Amino acid sequence: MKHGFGAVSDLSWPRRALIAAAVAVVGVLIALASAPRGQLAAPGPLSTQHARYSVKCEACHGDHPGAPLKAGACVGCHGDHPSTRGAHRALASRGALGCATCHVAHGAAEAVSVDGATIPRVPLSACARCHDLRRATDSARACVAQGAWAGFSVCFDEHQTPSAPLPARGVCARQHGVARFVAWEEARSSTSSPAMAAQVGRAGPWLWVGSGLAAGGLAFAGGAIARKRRPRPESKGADIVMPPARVRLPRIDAVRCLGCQACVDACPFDVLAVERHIAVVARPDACCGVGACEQACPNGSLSVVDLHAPEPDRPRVDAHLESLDQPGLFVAGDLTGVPLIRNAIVQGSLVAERVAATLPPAARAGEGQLDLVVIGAGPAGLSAALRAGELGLRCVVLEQSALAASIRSFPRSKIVHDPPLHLPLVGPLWLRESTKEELVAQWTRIVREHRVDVREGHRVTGVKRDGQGMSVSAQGSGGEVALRAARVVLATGRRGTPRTLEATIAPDAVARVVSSLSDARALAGRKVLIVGLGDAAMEAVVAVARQPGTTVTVSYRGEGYSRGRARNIDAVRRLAEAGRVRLLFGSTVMQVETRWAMLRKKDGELEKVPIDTVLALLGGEPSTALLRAAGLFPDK
Amino acid sequence: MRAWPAAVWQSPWLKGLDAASRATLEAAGKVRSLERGATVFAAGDPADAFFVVSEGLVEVRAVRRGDASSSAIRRVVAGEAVGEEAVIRSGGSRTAEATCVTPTQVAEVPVAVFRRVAARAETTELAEREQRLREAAVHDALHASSLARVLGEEELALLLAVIDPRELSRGDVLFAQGDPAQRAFVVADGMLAMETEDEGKARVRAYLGRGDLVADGALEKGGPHEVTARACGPAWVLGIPREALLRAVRAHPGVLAELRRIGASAPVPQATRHVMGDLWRFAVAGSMLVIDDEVCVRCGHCAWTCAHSHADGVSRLVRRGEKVTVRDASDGTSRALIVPGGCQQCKHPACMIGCPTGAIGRDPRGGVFVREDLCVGCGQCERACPWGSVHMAPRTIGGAKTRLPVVESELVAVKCDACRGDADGPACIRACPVEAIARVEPLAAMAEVRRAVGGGVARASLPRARPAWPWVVGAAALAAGLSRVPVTSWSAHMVSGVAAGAILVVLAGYAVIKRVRLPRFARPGSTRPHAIAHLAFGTLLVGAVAAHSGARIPPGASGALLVAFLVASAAGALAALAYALVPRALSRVEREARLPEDLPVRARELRERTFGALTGRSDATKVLYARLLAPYASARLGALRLIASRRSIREEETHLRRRVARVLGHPASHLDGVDDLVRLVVERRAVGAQRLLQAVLRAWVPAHILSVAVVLALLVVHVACVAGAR
Repeated sequence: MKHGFGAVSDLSWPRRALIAAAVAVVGVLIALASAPRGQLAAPGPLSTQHARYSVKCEACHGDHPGAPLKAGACVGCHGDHPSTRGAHRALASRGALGCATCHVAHGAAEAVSVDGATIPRVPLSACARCHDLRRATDSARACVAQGAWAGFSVCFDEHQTPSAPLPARGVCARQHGVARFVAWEEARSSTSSPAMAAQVGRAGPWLWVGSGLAAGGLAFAGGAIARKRRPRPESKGADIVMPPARVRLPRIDAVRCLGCQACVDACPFDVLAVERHIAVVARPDACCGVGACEQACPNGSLSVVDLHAPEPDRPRVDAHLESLDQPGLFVAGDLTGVPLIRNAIVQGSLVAERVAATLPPAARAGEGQLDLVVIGAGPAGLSAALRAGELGLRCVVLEQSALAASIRSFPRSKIVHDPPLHLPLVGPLWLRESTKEELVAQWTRIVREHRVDVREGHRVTGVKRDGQGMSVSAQGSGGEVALRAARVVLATGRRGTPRTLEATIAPDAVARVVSSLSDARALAGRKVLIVGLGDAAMEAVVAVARQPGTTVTVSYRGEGYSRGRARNIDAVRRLAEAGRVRLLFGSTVMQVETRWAMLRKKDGELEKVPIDTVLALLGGEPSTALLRAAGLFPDK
Repeated sequence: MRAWPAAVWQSPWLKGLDAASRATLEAAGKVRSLERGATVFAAGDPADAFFVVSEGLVEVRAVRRGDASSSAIRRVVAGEAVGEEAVIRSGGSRTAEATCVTPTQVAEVPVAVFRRVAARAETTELAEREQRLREAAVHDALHASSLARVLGEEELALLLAVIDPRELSRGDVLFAQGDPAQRAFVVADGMLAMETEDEGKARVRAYLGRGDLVADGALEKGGPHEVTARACGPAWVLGIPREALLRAVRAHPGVLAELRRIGASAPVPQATRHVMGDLWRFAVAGSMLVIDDEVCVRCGHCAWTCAHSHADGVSRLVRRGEKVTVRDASDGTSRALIVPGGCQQCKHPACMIGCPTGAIGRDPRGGVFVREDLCVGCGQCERACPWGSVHMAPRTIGGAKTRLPVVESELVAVKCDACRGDADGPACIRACPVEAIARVEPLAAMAEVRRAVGGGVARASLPRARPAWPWVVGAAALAAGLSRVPVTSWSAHMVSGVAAGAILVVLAGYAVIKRVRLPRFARPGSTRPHAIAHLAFGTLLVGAVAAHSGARIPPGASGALLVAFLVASAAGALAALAYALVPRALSRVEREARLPEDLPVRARELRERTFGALTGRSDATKVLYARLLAPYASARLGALRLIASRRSIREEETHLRRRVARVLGHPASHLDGVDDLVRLVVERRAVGAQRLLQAVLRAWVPAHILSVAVVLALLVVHVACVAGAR
């Protein structure tokens, strides 16, 4: 697993946490600022009665919360204090005692209704500021119920109303009347009344902190999601349309080159060599592109230049896959140099959408003219045709052999699979985990359901510009066919037209002859006959012979290793020496049946070779021939 | 520059060079006059030049494989050369040592320059000269091998005539299992792994090093090779035809079996399979960065620090990499280590050898570094490093043009240089809050590597973390006591509040130590003590806050402060708990170190490979997969069950295989491909478990950071309110 030093989460999460922390702080501060004024630094929430009558902060405190009480703030609503003990009165007149000294408008203070008048109660803690309630001789001792040192004062002397004497009950009731007794009772129990907890002020801290943390948490998670969503350069975008290609190589001006060896000496990787007194690029693959050779060259005849990787068989197309050399002609699938079925499907539908979007209405209305001709019924071609059908284009698909022939040529039961996560599911051409047989069957069904006009067995021979549209000529089983269309999509892939095995093949054995090897593992334990000894064939020999239990026979018309890379020849020769592979030079395949094939050997003798699979790797006509005929390579 | 003596130019290697070539050589090489007993070169020195002796006598000595002391190989008189192995493997190291028997004068000829000079001369002569140097080198290598211990001089001379030397690069196969045995080989330099195929995977049976004879039983019996010989790194071997070897040893029956170190030996013990899987890597590492997998809390602070201690902001350390199980050389305990993507400071760096501009260097202490002003961004080093430790990064500072008048490149090679510019040592090691990361020399610290390669003195240098729990327990006791102190008076309130606030500020200072680049005098030598202090003070603060607040939540901003503090300390406590418990569980279900963002990719990859493994299998296998293995892999609580079972991946595989065997009625391996599938589905479940555990590790720290930020903001508000109220 090789990775660059890209943005890994180790480096990104601290920054995200920092941003999220800042968001959380801002969130909590906003929450604090938007809290009811005065609650922030207030000794507590408003008492129930004040809250019930919606007493505003300003009503008592003047212009801002926390400001001292306005003169007459309490008396304005509550009226004058009904009665006051002498000592308290003396303190009040000196200004040492105010309403708020004993009565608290915030926190736990509850007012009770007594005889229609609302009297704020006095918490013992207020009394305790001056009195020592535990001392038996204290003057306020009588106001405190035995053993109850917390809570509210039960001494109602301060609040006596002269009218309405009430029936006596108990000491207080006898002395102060029933209503006051009831109030006292209530005062004792109301400290734990549920109304207290439900107030906004109590939940406030939780709400503020909670909202701040939630904002921060969202920011953190959002950062992670945004990071995930950000398109990665390797996963999306231009690479589906165009493969990148750029190399740096020395270019030598043969006229001026002195053959002095300076560049050869300078190159640490033996890229350059001097042949016939002129420097040549002998090993372009090893070039580092640094330009040490350029430095060393005494007369500037060598320069290191950026080149596009030589791609002689890749048509030049724009970002919408339309040919730059032949407008109106589109290219999709393997031809663009981008592999994989998935990409082919995406490209096909992109092309169809582009055609539908750019086709002028006038061109659409043409009589006897199609909107689109698709050449090749592989993944790209079918996808283009299906999408075109959806977009209401009149479309015909021409195919030289059969539907999805490239996929059919995969080995038996190869699993054609693509994780659905990746797949931008365009059109009905699905691609899931399935064997190639399932895939072909499903695609055939889809093509039939969508009534795609696929004309199998039509080999396209030429594509020409014809006024506003294009004309396509094809060689079908019933003779020459000519079609006119506004646009043409070339989706022929790179297989070209494989050379077929010139032997009598029994109808049952057709499925046993394949023309490409995609997965050698599927051939484990089988008897395989490989026909041909080119590079592809030799690579197949090595791959198949490496599978356990395979019996490999190679039939080749030539008398020896006539072509191919040295490495491949070496590997095949080693396998032959080790007895893993049976090489039959100078032999031809005469007949293929389901279980055996008949070979004619060098000496004319016939031999029956048992087979499970025949791999005919004979090369073929390259796919570029049609492209050239269609005018995609004007300069060649 | 001093003109070289005529005797040098008369030697067969340098005879007939023109004046320009001589001048080139004189400029590049040097003449050395040496006393009696002085060393021309010692074993292990880099071999990049050979020496022509102009006067005196030099003795070449080497320790033959299997011997304890060195023995003389040959004596070199004036006019002859010594140290020719440089011709064969420039960049390798000396196998032998050369000492002066008499006062001597030698001319040092750098091989690269010699080649260039010789290339200008006629080509046939070059080939001849190189050939003669090669022969001398082969002679030395053969005499330093274990064969030289048993064979006489004449027998060796016979072998010398038929030897065909070969150079191998990393991964090259010398011979494959099943190939006909036609040659034996002597390892002149480098290391070869003898592998057999086991369940479709290569399993190393033995490593052969310098001086070993590569010959399995097939050589005597005839027939195909029993093992595959693969080069672990650049290697140089001498091929000896089978017949020649058999003829040479005819007089010494049983010798081959004695010299052979491979064959039907038992497989390397399971526990150490990982480290043995790529022994070469450990053998050539000078200083390797390793992370203790069972301690590492995956916070990534090492990588973050690395990125921030370099001006370009690129981290040289990426916490992905191989996991190995090794024994500590000092106390024999088994350790699970991660070898992350960071340079291992090879003794003979492939990156340095391949650099076209000499931008990569190696300092006397063994640190390999990039001179950025010389680097032209060609990427040769990135391709050369077998372990992907060098990367190309966008150039941010300086430019190649400052010293080399070449193409200005956008890229520059970056790699870990062990913070060589910093006297305090690598920043990542200082930064680790759990002391899980360390730089070790595998030869000294890993028992298996020492045994296999023959290393020096064992040193205890594997990462070893200081425990935090005694401090935390002490702090917890103190905090419990604190929380019981009654705070009633206003002054007590103030004192406790100021104390709690002060502790909070100290705790927040930990973030500064970790994430702020401090000047050198203020920088901690290690983050670990600070991490421990953070845990202890954090615990203490809970007690202080409990005392200050009287264990009830007041309304207003002070209440909010308390709430936020509760959240922050809960997140912190959970993080500490996760840090203490999760790494061990994570280590059990890991095969390789991955970053959290790699795990979904890996899960997808495993799914794809599963379908690949199903291709072409029998219907029975497919049914077994559909009925048993697929449900196992996709079970909703599978990851949790794997974690709860406390089984390692390997144990889980065994467990599942047993289940499969119960269903099938015979061992799983009897059904084609099931073993592979079991491995894949278990890893799928393990990846799920890793995702879960990584999330647990990663979740609490951001939560802690968030809530602490809120606490600090509210503390300011609280203090302002209290001050306003006064």
